[in-house]
Amino acid sequence: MITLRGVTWAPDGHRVLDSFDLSVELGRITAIVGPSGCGKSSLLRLLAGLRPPDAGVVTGVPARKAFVFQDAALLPWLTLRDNVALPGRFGPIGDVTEALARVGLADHAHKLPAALSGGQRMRGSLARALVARPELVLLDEAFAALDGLTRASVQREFLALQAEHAWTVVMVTHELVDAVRLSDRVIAVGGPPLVVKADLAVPFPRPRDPAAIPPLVAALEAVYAA
Amino acid sequence: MSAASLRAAAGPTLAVLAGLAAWALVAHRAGPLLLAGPVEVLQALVSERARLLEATARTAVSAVGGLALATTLGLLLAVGAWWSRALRAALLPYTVVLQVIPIVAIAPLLVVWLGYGTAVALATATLAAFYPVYSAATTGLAAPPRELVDLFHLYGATRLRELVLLRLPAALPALFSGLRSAAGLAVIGAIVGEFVGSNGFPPTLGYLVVYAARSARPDLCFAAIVGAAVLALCLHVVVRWAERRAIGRWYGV
Repeated sequence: MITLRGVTWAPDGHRVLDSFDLSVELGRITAIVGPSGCGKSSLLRLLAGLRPPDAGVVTGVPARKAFVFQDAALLPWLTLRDNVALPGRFGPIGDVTEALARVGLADHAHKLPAALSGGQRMRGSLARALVARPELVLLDEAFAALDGLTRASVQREFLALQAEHAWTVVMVTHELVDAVRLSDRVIAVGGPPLVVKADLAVPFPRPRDPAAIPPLVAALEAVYAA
Repeated sequence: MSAASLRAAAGPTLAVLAGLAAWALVAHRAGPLLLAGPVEVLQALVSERARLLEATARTAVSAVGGLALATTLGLLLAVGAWWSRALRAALLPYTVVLQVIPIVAIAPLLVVWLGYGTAVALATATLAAFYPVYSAATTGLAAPPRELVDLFHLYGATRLRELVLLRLPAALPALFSGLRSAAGLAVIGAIVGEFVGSNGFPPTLGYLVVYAARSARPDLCFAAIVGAAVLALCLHVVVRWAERRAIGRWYGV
């Protein structure tokens, strides 16, 4: 269990967290939804340990972490293989070739990111997360830049990897449908400073029955309409 | 050539021909002591080619040398300014002063310090090219998006590795755009230095311009200007070529 107790955090002078409490179950997917600018991405940066909190305690954060960002955040001057191998410059990693094959990019290893499609770049970003052998994976609007069909297939890929490696995932998104479709629990937030407006369990097995999603989305929309 | 591209080329070609004709006409009215026509300039380019070539080569050495020095200094200081906030604050007044001082104004003083010869032109070319390189490198080092910086911090990258693996490569696009401005300015700087710092032994473009203007040789003056323009164009093309080689593929070019 990852636990934040009474956490206050002002990384750039702005207080994004103020006596904030939260607990996240290990091995599960927790989605944080909320409007842009409410401080939800800052929560990911805090969990990543980029800077310690100014007050309060954060416990139970796994040592091995990976980030996946909206526009894949690959280095444009490195080939896909070198991008996926990047975490290896800083510590031990898994097999790069295997990770590329796992996300279906074995034949694209020598290409620069500019020569890849948006979906391929995002798969590369997943492979880069995969080789770092993370216990905690932080997704920051990871699927937002993808078109509908690509998004669905990358998300399937992501769910398979999560199940295979029992990743603890905290994903930030403003897509309510994505949050409900992918996660085990949706936390609706507002702010800044960050406040929890609703905390919903999503108790359905995967793959999710499409009919089960709209009622939960409606419930989340109601939180923000109020 | 297709009819469409012929039509597209017709406008500019006609404009240039009309310009040349007007120039020839005005030069004819003004007389050879005041203004040289296109034909006279062409004749000067041919008859003075040995002197012009040597002068262009000398000026090229100063301009390219100045550009190289400015790039090295600008890049080193920009890295220093990124590394240390204190150094950045300390550099600020100096870079601003360097940017606002007209090089023409300090060139005579440089002659006092460095004497006649290549050193003055090298110094003025360096001074002229420094600021665009420094400024572009500073911008470029701050260019990586927050996500990439976060990623490197998540990996526990040291500042040195962040610099080498992330910041320096990410700075290349901005650096090249700075180099493009700096290349033109280096040629101007070299010529300004030669106005006062060159006595014609050996000949330089800046010296030739001044000498030709004083000896009522507008044809030679124009020929030297043509040399300067060709030199600046060559430098621009080389920088462009290097830019495409270095970073073109990042954008799928």
